[in-house]
Amino acid sequence: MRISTTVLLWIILTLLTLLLIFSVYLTILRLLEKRRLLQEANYVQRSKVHWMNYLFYNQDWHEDMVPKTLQEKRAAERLLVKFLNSVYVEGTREKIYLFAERYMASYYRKMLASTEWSHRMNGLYRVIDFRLIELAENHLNKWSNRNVRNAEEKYYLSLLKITVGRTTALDLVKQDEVEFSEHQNRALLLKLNQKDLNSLIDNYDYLPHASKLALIDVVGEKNYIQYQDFFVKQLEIEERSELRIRMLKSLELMGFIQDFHPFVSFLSSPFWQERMLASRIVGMFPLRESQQYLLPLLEDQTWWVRSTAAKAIAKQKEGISVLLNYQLKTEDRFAKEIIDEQLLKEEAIAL
Amino acid sequence: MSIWEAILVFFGKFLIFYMIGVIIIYTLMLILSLLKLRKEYQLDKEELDDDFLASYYSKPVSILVPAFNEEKGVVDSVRSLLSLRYPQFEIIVINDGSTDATKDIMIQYFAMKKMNRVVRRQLETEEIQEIYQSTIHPNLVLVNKVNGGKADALNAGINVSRFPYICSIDGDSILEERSLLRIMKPIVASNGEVIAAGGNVRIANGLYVEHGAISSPALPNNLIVVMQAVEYLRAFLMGRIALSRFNLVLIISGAFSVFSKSWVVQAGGYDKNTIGEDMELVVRLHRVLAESKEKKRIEFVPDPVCWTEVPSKLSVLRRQRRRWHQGLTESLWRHKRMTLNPRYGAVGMISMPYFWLIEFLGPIIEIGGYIYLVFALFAGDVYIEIAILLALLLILYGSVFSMGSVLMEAWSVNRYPRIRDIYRLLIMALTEIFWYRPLTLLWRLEGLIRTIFRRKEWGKMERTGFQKKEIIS
Repeated sequence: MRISTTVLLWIILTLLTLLLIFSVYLTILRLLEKRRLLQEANYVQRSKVHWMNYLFYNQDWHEDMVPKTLQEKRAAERLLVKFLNSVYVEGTREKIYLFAERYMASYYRKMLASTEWSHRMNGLYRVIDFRLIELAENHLNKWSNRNVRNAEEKYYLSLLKITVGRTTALDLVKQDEVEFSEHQNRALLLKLNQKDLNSLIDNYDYLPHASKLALIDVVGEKNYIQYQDFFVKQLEIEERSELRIRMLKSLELMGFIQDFHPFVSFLSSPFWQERMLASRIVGMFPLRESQQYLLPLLEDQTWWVRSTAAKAIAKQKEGISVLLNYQLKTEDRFAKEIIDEQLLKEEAIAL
Repeated sequence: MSIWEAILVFFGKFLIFYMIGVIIIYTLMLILSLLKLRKEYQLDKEELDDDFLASYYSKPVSILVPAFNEEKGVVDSVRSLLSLRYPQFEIIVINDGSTDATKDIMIQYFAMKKMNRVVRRQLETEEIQEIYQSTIHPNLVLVNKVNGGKADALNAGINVSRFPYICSIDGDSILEERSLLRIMKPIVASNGEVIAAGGNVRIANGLYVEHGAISSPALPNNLIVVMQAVEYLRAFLMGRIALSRFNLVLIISGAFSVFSKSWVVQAGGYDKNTIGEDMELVVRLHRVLAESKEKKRIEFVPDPVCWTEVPSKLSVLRRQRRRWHQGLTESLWRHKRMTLNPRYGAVGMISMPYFWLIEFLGPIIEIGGYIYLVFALFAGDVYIEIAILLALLLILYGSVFSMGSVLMEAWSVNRYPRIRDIYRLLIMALTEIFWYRPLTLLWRLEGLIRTIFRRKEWGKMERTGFQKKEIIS
C-alpha cells in the first residue's frame, strides 16, 4: 500500500494553516478583550461620579459620561442596565431612556441591522429595556415581511410590538396562531395590568391551551384572590384534568378559601393529583368540619394523598390525637403506616 | 504475496479507512459545534436568565451530592451550591459511609441537627442511618447511609428528595452562580420535552476558591492536568454539542447533570451494578423513552460550568480511565439490542454504532495502528518519510480539533483569559500523540480486558482540595 507524499504534504500544510489561523485568531481575540476591559474600566472610573450626579442629584449630564468608542458604549450599556434593574428612584428611568436615546441609539441601530443573530438579539433586548421607540418602529417595519424562524427572536419581536403599542400582551396571549412556549406566555402575563387580566378571565374559554395554563399559574403565584370564585366555578365544568389540577394548585397557593364544599367531590377523583390538592384545601379548615373527609384519605392507594391528608390533620389542634384514634380503629395497613410516618415527623419538629 | 503480507495490506487499508472515517465524523462534529457556538457568541445570556426567572418557580430542583471521603472538598462544594442563583432548591449531601471526617465536618460547619424524616422508598438502597438538617440553611440536608457506592448514594438522595427535578453533583465540584439556571433553561423552555440536561465540566485543580466560588481561572502547572483540560474541552465542546443537536447524547457527566425525577424512577434509578452509572442511566432513559414512544430529549448545555478536580497522578488517572472504559463497555453490551435497531430511532441507528465503533473499538484499532506502523517500518513496507508524514498528520489533526475546541471555549464560556494558557494548550495538544494518547489507549484497553474477565473496582480519586490562600500558578 502506497500513499502519495504530495497528497500527505498538502493535507499537512492545510492543517498547519488551520492551526496557525486558530492561534492567531485566539491571540487577537484575547488582546482585543484585554483592551476592551481596560477601556471599559477607564470609562466607568471616569464617569461614575457624573452618573450618580445625573441620576440622583438632578445635574445635567457631563461630557465624561458620553461614550465615544465601541468599548465605552458597552461599558455605558452595562451601567445603564444595572441602574435600570436596581434603582427605583422616581425619574431615574426616564433619565436613562433619554440618555440611551441620545447617545446609544446609533450603537443599537447597528446591532439590529447585524446579520448575526446574537447581535440582533442583544439589540432587541436593549431597545426594549431602554424603550427606544423610533428604533423599534424602524426595526419592525424592516422585519414586517420577513419570516422569523427562531422562537426567541419571534418572541422578542412581539415584545417590541408591545413597546411601540402595535399590539398588547393581552392580544398576544389571546392569539391562537402565535405559538409561544408556556414560560414565554407566563412572562407575557406578568406584564399585564389588572384590567387586562380581567379581560383574559372574561375570555377564558377562547384562550389557547398554553395561555390557559400560564394564566392559571400566574394567578396563583401572584395571589390574585379576586379570581377565586371564577376558578371554583370553572372547576365544575372543566373537562381537562391538567387544567383542573393547575386550578386546584393555584387555589391552594392563594389560600383564603371560604368554603371547602365545592372541593369535596375532588377527594374521590380518579386522578391522585386532584385528590391530593383537594385534601390540602379541605385540610385548611378546622378538623371538626374536615376530618370526616380527610380521615378516609389516610387509606388512599397513593402515598402522596395519604401523606398529604396525614400532614393536614397533624398540623391542626388535636390533630395528633385524631390520628392516634384513627390508627387504633382502622384495619388498613397503609393508614397505620402513614400515621406512624407523620408522628415521626411531628416528633422531629418538636425536637 | 505471503499470508503475512496479505494480512498487513488488509490491516493497513482498514486502518486508513477507519482513520478517514473517524476524521470525517470528528470534522462534522467540529463544524456543527462551531456553528452552534458562533451563533450564540456574544449573546447576552444574563438578559434571558432574568427574563424567565419567574418561570423557574415551577421547576424546583433537588441537588444531590454523593460524598465518599470528601472531607477536603465537600464544604467548598456545598458553599458554592448555597450561593446558586435559583428560586427554589434543596441540597442533599449523601455521605456514603465515608471513613474520613466528611460527616463530622458537614455537621459542624453547617450546624446540622438530626431529624426524623420519613423517606419514601421509590428505589432500593442501602440503609439510611440518619438524616440531618442545617439550622443555618434549612434547604441543606445531610443523609448518612451505609456504603453502597455512588449509584446507591444517588438513589438514596432521590428517595429523600422533595422536588420534581434532581441535579447530581460530585462531592468535590464547584458550580458557578448561574449554572443551575442555565442548565435548567432547556427543560423550562421546552415545555417538558427535555427530560435531562448535562452541563460543561471544567478542571479546577490548583484553582483559588473563596466562599465557594472560583476566582481567576487559569491552567495549573501539572502537565497531566493540562492535558486533561485539552481533552475535556474537546469532549464537551466538540462531541457533546454536536450529538446533542440530534438528541444522540449517550453520556452526560455525573459531575453535573439534571434529570426529571419521575423519568429516572421510571428507568429504575441509577444502576448499582455498573461502573459507569451516569452513562447507564442515560442509555436506559433513551430506551424507556423509545419503548414508551415518548418524544423527549436529553440535551447537553455548553454554558453552565461545573468546576471539578481531575487526577493529577498517572496511577489515579489510569484507574479512572480504566473504569470509564469498563462502564462504557458494560452499558453498550447490556443494551446491545438497541444497536442498529430502528425501534430506538436515531439513538439505535447512529448513537449506538458510533459508540461501538469509535469509543469502544477505538483503543483496539488505534493501538493496532501504532503497532502496525512500527512493524511495517521494520518490514520495509512503509517508507520512513511516509511514516513521518503520517505521524505528523495524526499530530496535526488532533491538534486542530483541540484548538477548534479552545476557540469554542473562547466563544462560549471564555474561562481561560490568558494568552499564555492558549499556547500551553496548543503545545500540549501537539505532544498528545507521543505520550498521553498511547497511555490512555492502553488504559482503555485494560478496562476492556477487565470487563471481559469481569473484574470490578470502585475508583477513588485522591483529592487535594481547593486552594484557599493563593492561586497556584
